[in-house]
Amino acid sequence: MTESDSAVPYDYDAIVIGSGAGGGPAAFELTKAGRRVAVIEAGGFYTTNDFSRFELLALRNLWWTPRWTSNYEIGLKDEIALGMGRCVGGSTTIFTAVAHRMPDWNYKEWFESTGIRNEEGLPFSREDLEPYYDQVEKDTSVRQYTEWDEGLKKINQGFTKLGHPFHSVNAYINKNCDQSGCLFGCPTEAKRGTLVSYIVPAVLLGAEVIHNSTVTKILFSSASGEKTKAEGVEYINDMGEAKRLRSRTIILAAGALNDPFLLWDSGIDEASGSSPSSKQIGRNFGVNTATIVFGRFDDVLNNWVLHPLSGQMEDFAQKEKGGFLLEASEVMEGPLSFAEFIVDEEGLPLWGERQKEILRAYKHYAGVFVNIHDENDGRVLRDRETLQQKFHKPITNKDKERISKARELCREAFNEAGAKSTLDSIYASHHVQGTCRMGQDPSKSVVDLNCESHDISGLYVVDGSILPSVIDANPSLTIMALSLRAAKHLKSLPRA
Amino acid sequence: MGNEYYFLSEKERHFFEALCEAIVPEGEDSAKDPGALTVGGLSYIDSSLCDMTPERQKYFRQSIYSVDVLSNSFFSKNFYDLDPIQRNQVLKELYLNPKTREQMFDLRSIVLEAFYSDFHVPNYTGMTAWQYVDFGGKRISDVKKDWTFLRIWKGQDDRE
Repeated sequence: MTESDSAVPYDYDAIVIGSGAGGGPAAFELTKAGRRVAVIEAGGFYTTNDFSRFELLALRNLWWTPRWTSNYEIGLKDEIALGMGRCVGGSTTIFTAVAHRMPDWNYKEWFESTGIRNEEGLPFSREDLEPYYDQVEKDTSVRQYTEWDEGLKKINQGFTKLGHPFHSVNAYINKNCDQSGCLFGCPTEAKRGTLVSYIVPAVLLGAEVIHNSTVTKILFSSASGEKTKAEGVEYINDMGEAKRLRSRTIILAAGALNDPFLLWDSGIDEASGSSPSSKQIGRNFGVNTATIVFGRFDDVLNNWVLHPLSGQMEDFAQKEKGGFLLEASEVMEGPLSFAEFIVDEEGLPLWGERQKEILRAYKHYAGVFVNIHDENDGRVLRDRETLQQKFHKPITNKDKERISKARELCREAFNEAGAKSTLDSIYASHHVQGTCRMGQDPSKSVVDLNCESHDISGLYVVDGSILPSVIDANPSLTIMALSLRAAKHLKSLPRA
Repeated sequence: MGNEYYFLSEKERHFFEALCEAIVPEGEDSAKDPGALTVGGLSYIDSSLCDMTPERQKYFRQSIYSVDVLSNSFFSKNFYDLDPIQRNQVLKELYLNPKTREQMFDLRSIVLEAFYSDFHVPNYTGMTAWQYVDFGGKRISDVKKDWTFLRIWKGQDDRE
């Protein structure tokens, strides 16, 4: 340690936990502003040359093992598989990069949920987020994705006959996309997720990425009469060693499924004096419950060679109009994932000869991805006896009604398009949201407008968990915009 | 065929043999209609379990126990000793009971992986899953599959 080093009490100006849509933009902006930044990521640091269509290895290396809800514990029978990214870039490395701004009606719902207001005291609105959307779209090369695959063309024929044509999505994918793989990492660097747009540029500017490392505790300090402050983190590195780093700014961006557990394990209940805000952690969990309807055609589609979700149909997205958003085409990009997803007419997972027969026809399938507008009525919690992580997310009668209407419409469209049969999937979610909501009122939220904890000074939460209520668009663009917004606030503060 | 096992006991191997037959069965002509056992899927399951955390290994052993308890309660036999129809009944019940549903999914998953991932043991040269389902195309047909993250493949090279 040099003399000048010893005079520096903190290791970093900011430590970012997680490198996905929430962590990446903030890490880059702060590094660009000359701050010393470390990003601690639970997953591995894989880049373009590592990504291949070897499905099994990609699932092992880039994805969290699916976590299932335990809805049976609250008397319900339907469970949801929660699948998220676990690698540098997080879910933006492996998801489909669909990049739509949040619809206007969602701002109103946000205000109704947590009373969120802007700096002028007005309800938080489109104008408050637009400059950040503009910046993210520029940073990540968002464009309209018009290169439709054969499956989507067929699906669109069916929906057009029903009066509900699909439209090209916006996506953070540049023209280098050769439609050769998406869910297992982009092999052409066309996908401009946080890995490419923010993390690698941040590293080039001096940020440190500590990968394959899991933060086990956020450190707090309190002095008499002062608000409790963030002080650093403890983590287990890739060698299994326990480490500690100090910083007065901690940006928690580990995702809505992970944030609550880390906050509880860090002792936030005690540190906050069991404040009303701390009681909100883990609550208000929403997931945009999703399912896929597959249609089987006579033609060979090989619909795994595509960019999934190139088109969408939002006529029913607003909850008053139906509450479901449709995107296509999606057949999971590999036989293993497809086999995992398909169910029979009763909703039972398939296996045995019936499943093999469907797999033999895999090349004939196209699929419509259904996302519903569900409620923030779920909860993330730890079982008191076993200490296991638990996820409760009811699929309510209203949710089932939405899913049923969406499936019915998809079947009709597939029929119009000439499909010979259809097939449903399990319930899944890739849009986990709302376990540390943003708002003014500490009795309804965990962080404030700047994403800073109501209870702990210097502790920020910036990821899907802060969304006050579920949004009717793929959430990563909105999360990235909120991350840039939080970064602007942080840059305005004096260095610790 | 690889027949070296690193984790599974003989009884557990019998259990997974039966599970492989139920989840991805072999057809009458295994050369044209392979199943999980044809490609050596037991070795995949064994190698995967061997490298899991102790907690996860314990979980899978509990899951095997759950299946056999259910099998015995229905048919007074272990899962391995059931006929195909009875095995399907047990697996369906395992799914329908919310408390064992996740176990059913995880047992099913490891067998699906053992086949639909395109796995095969060293020296097996017959048909594997990707050929069986005709999965191919850009960046797929020529993908380099390095299986050496599995113990059964350590020190061997099958990168096509």
